[in-house]
Amino acid sequence: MGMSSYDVANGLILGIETSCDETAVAVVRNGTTALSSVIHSQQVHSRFGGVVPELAGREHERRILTVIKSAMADAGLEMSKPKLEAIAVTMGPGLAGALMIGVAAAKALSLAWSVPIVGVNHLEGHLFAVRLERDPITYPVVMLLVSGGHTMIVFVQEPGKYRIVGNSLDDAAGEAFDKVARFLGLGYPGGPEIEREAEFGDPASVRFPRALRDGSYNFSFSGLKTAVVTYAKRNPEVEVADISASFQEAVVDILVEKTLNAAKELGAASVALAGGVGANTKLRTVLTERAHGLDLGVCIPSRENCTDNGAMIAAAGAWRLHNFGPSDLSLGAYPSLVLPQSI
Amino acid sequence: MILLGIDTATETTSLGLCKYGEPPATVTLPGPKNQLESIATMVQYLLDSSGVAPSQIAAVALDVGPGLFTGLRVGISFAKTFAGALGIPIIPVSSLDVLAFSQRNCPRAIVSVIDARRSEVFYAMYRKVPGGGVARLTQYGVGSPEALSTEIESMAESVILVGHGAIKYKNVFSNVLQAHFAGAAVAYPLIPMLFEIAFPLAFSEQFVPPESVEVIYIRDADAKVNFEVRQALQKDR
Amino acid sequence: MLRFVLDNVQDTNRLAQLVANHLGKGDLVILSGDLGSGKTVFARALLGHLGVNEAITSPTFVLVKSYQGRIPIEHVDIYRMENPEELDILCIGELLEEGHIVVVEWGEKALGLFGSSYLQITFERLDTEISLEDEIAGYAKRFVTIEFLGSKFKDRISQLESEIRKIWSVA
Repeated sequence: MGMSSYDVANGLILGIETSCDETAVAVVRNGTTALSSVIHSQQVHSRFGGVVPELAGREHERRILTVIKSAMADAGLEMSKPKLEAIAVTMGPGLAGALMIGVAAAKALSLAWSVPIVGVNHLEGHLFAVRLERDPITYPVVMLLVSGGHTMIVFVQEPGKYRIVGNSLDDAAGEAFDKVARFLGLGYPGGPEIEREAEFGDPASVRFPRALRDGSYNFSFSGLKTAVVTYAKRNPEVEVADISASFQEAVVDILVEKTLNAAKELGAASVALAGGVGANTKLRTVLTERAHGLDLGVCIPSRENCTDNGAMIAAAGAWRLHNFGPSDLSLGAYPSLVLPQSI
Repeated sequence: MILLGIDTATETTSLGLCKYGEPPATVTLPGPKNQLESIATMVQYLLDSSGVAPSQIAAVALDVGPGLFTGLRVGISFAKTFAGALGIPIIPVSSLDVLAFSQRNCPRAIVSVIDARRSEVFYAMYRKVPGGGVARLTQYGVGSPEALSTEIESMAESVILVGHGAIKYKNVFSNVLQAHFAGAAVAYPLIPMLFEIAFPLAFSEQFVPPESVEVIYIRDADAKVNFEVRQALQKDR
Repeated sequence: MLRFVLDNVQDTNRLAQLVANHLGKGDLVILSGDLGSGKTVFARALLGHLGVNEAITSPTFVLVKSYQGRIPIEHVDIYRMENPEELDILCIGELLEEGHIVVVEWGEKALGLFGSSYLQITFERLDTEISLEDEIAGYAKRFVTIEFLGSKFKDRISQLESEIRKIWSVA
């Protein structure tokens, strides 16, 4: 299946994402305009307090075809012989048994419809979410990628040219939210629960330490988590709302400060947000305000485009396809894939 | 009528393409690894070498388990989506039924046994019926080989055990009087058997839309506490 | 049972290396202790010494994280599991059967469910005031207790014990 066999002019790419607990499919035109984006968030994990790999696999298998059909219908495409340029699919990183469902489905579509597939790195997908927003972003960009599994600052010279300049040395930011929420007796997932509780609290009530002022862009949330737990144990009279607000304040402060420092020192034109924790209102507001104060461009994708979705995979897939061609039909799933660094 | 056959329920990956009344084209790879990597290239190979276009396929005959979960889902996810994209139905068949079918001419009672890990096996019992084929006598079950041995013993008749699970625990099952073993050549679900079961079902339109296909897990998704676990819990208290 | 004090993160790392040397296919390691007691730091060091090269993050969000070391390793965290009786669904038994090493944080919540053979390492912070900078730099002291269940660990533990006694004063 060579590069010549597909209809480039059409520019429609179907993106499939099943790396964790979202079964998501979207149709994107020219790598920038989502014609549809269907996201099925699995609910089965909540009573286990975390994503259960076996259940994630079962849920993806149960939903994948229905979600594909919805995304096709929403984009106004027929399931019988649609004109697509390619099927883009997340090949990693993520849960092996979850990734496999998406990759197997993508291959089936590829054979049935005679369109090529293109394997996409999930992390690169997140970096392409900014391309789905209406206003074009000015490169180079410093991106803050924060989710349940990742906390990193990535310098993006231009699409495809990345350097990871900061990483979490221990827990991801989303994990710190989850652990602290659990400790405070709040529900799962922890991020939205802490955010809700924080609305009623005073963010200045406790000054939690802002870890790692070592000039690096790395994060450590394990220490902050320990500080919150120690403080709450020693001061049982302090309201959960106040602790939540103060903890959130500290996390946001650390994330924004390191991101902006990186942007200034690396000469970025703009900063952007990606990943599930990017749905946090406080983080969105503070990053926007402080970036504007520094005359940096800001791109905060819609909440839907911050969390795992098929549109970002289609957007990254379009770019991969046009620069490197399609993937082989023997594509696998790569649970430990890392972001390719080329600068 | 042309059927595509898919089986990834156990440690083999088996695919086939068959026009009714003609010998099936089949490909089988051993080992549980690389099921995802090889499935589409194998189907492509079958299509190309048989000169069949996807649009000519009438339905997908699919092994829906029980078996090893992850590999099983690779085949099922592929089959569902493939059928969904072509607008064709699926004929779901159990892996245990496929194994039993290979012994359809045997006068003994048939017990299909598939390794379920955790020192357990998936199993079901069958008997040949007039006109060719087998009838299932029990529900699909999961349990220790020892418990299954006891169950077989209580049947008080000559049985033939078929499947990789029977071979793996041969030392346990050998203690059962009147137990015979089918050979290694039929230890894994065979695509020609899957087709033999599927064609009559296809002709009588006993198929389902791809979305309705359900995997046979037997082990509960809701993580039922099994007996040993409960015992351990009680010991703890 | 062995009980002694780890002075800092270097000590934790040393212990992880000793333990890693004694682990093999199908071994289950349970890490116990409160939030912030040092389980994850130990787990990360242990996985490193088992040959995992990639970044190791905490498995709280995804309950089972898989790594490829010198043998496949599963890092499990059941901190948030409300009903440990439902542990079955994490398929730990299958993973052990396939020869993976399984490391479970917060395993004490469900000790009875892990069968008859495991190594348990418990961490406790010594309750001393410590600045966050020192905390992050790894200067928190902790008690560590090593226990095991099942005969398969017996010989290995006595070997491990003599190695530990050369370094730490064991209670």
